[in-house]
Amino acid sequence: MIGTLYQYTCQFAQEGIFLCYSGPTSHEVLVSTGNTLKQFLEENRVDKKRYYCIFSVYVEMFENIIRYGVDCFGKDLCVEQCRCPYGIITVGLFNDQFTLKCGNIIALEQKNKLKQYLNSIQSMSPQIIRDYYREKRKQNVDPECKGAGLGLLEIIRKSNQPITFSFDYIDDYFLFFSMTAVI
Amino acid sequence: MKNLQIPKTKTTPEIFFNCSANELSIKGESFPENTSEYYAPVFDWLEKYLENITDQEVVVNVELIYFNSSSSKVLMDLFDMLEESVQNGKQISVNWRYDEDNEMAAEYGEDFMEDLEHLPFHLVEI
Repeated sequence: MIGTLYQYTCQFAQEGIFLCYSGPTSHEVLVSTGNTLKQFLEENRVDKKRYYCIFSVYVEMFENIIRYGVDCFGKDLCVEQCRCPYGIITVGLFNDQFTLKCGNIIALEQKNKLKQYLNSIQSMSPQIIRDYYREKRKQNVDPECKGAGLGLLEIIRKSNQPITFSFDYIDDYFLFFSMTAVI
Repeated sequence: MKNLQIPKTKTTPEIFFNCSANELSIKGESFPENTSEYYAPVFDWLEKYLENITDQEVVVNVELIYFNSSSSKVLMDLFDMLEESVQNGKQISVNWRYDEDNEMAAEYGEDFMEDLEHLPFHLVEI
């Protein structure tokens, strides 16, 4: 087991990943790991604009896991009742580019809507994203959204490359959703 | 009416709404666990305050170095509320205060300014 952790660590090091959280998520974990991320960026003198873009994407990704992730690997637990959904989030620095990745488990029926939405906003130009963000912010909140429904747009707005995402099959009920943003 | 004073935390800004000086200020960072729940008392206070004022000048200073997307929505709702009061004859203006190094804060200020028609909204570099 110890050997396995060493292998994970080596793999992270190769990819430049300096932060990884995997496990049950909560706002408290977001705040504590987020503050550590800030400290790390400060110590490495990352310029202010980039610093806030990285922190912002980290917060929105983490909040998405808390809001939309399901907490289990088994089909017996009800999606609506989850309190601390499982999630994984990493931040890496390689060739002067910060890469943030997040992954969580979603129920099969969440996929179509999410995929459609991501496809529609993924390649919008910065100005279109900015305008769409403003338009959405003026509207009333969709009752199905647990936040303001702006999180993914915020992630795209703060990234300097198009985001990428994937859905991996777990079983007949659950999928693993992952997303990557580069800053 | 009593002033509204909420100290800052790791995830919420310092809020000081001084009704005798007619100066409302929000300063810090904002990414609370439940944004609408957190800001509900702020909106309640503001609603009562806006009903009570007549033609006195009110200055709202917002200095947020970071806010998440749900706080962005809350800010829009807050500015919409102030804009409605301005349309009803109240004298309110907003100073959006930002650090020159924080380009995103400036960009977000510009967006709010463009989305408000009647509320005087000033971008103030600090």
